[in-house]
Amino acid sequence: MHKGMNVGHKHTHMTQRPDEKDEPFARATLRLWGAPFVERALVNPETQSIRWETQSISLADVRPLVPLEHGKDVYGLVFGFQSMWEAYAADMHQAPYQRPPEKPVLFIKPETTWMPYGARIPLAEDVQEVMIRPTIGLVFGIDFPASPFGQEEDLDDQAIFATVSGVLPAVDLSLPQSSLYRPPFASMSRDGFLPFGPWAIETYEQISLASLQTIHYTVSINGLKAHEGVEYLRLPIINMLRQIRTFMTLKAGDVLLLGVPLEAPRARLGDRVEVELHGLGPVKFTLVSRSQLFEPERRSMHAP
Amino acid sequence: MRPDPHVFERLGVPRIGRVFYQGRIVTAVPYDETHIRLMDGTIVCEEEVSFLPPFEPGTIIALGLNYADHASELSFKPPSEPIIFFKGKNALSGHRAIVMRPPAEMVHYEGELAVVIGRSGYHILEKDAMAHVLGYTVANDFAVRDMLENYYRPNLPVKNRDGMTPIGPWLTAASMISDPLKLTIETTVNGQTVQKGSTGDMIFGISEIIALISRVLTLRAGDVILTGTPKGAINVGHGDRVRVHIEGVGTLDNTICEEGRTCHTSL
Repeated sequence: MHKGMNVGHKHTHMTQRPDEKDEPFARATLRLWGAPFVERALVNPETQSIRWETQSISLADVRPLVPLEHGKDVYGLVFGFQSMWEAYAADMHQAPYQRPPEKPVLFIKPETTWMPYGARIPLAEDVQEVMIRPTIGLVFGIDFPASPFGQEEDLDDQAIFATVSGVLPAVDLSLPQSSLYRPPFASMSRDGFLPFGPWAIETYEQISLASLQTIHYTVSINGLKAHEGVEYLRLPIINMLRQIRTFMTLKAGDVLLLGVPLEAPRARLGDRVEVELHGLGPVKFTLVSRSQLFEPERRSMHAP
Repeated sequence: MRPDPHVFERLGVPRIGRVFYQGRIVTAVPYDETHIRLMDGTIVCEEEVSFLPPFEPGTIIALGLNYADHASELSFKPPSEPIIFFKGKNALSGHRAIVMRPPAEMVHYEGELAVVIGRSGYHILEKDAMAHVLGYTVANDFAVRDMLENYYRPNLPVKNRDGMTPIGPWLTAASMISDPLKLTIETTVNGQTVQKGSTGDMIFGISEIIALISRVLTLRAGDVILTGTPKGAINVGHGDRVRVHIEGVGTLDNTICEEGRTCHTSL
């Protein structure tokens, strides 16, 4: 088992065949091209294999779709990771920020940014390179409601964690941005700038969100390891969630990205990028020019 | 469901909306001052339905400080490039909805012309932009000013509160509006005019906005752009009735209720 998230450790009620009992399979929700009836499966993030009904399937042999429903909202926390907060800590007392934020600072990734696992991502002509920022998203299974009067303490931890149905690997793509003063429209909202992993690992009795503190990941570009990173959550997840619900509701099916790393490797046109979020799964994509988005090379989408 | 770009021609009507009636979401059109007509021909009193946003929204995009007089009123310099931000769908509510006011010193209404996209496009040229517009509606983009912080400003605690962006009542076909940059926009609070301007005073006009946004992302049918608000922001409180009227587009009517208190729509 990798360091990182403890997926598969707590699967006390997980369906298992006797010969599988030592393998770290976890229940996950996923959607596959050509198979609208597939909704859930057992997945092994390390071996990238899927067990569906009686079949063992390799991730390389299927085409996952975006593991979210159309019309939902994806939010992200800019200071969710400690590294980002520390990098800006000194500037926070100066113009234009003046003081550290009291409320969570969130961004929104519109639906035109969402990309499925293995996708080709179109870069605009004026874009030379993009920052590869691995993250994980909490998927809400039921509404996570705003609190009346903006209070933080009216729900117990268990009731809050119960709103999260899954954990999703993702990569936030961004152009370099130095100022956080204005919303990051031109840098973070471009078509295809949020590739997802192939599935969301279900949290129910499998993952302890309360103990999630670190995220380990590896970024490979064109088959070569480019960066190995670890991010620490700045606050326990429960505190982040309590702060968010002082002002808004996350609806069932919405996603909250827990942070973005400060140090991010950069990739360019033509690069094949594979990010492994340890314990959760891979995110894989190729950067292409928009005019070549549908060229036949697509057949080798899952090639190494 | 994304709106059909030919919805107005297919139905032969100039305005459409969506309401919740007898447990169902149904398409409706205006009938007279107090009644609406459902698509099966039934005529019902406005008070028997709940108005929903008049189309199923895709991406919600908003502009900050897009009227010079509003920018100077808040002692901000008018921006040299537009301030563009997104809103979540939790923020939307409908015509006649009660808008819940959180405990705060300053809550401002912001009457705005909302532009709804009917045909998708990327790198849309200014000269072609209006062909991508399906229609217009009225939005009131309430802001909780106390919550303003200087990160990704305007930050979500100001602009993304549940239900604090009512929109509607109707989506008016683009063909009904000969010049969307010559419309009077007026907000009243309890009958008193507090905001009166012209959409012609926008710093970035509609074609320019569509061109600028589509330089970054593909605009799709159902996406909506809230184009900013003119001068005249004052605080509103419990029981205030806020109406935004845009000439030829409609009148959006909402009542403010403080969290924790009850409020009746005595509209």
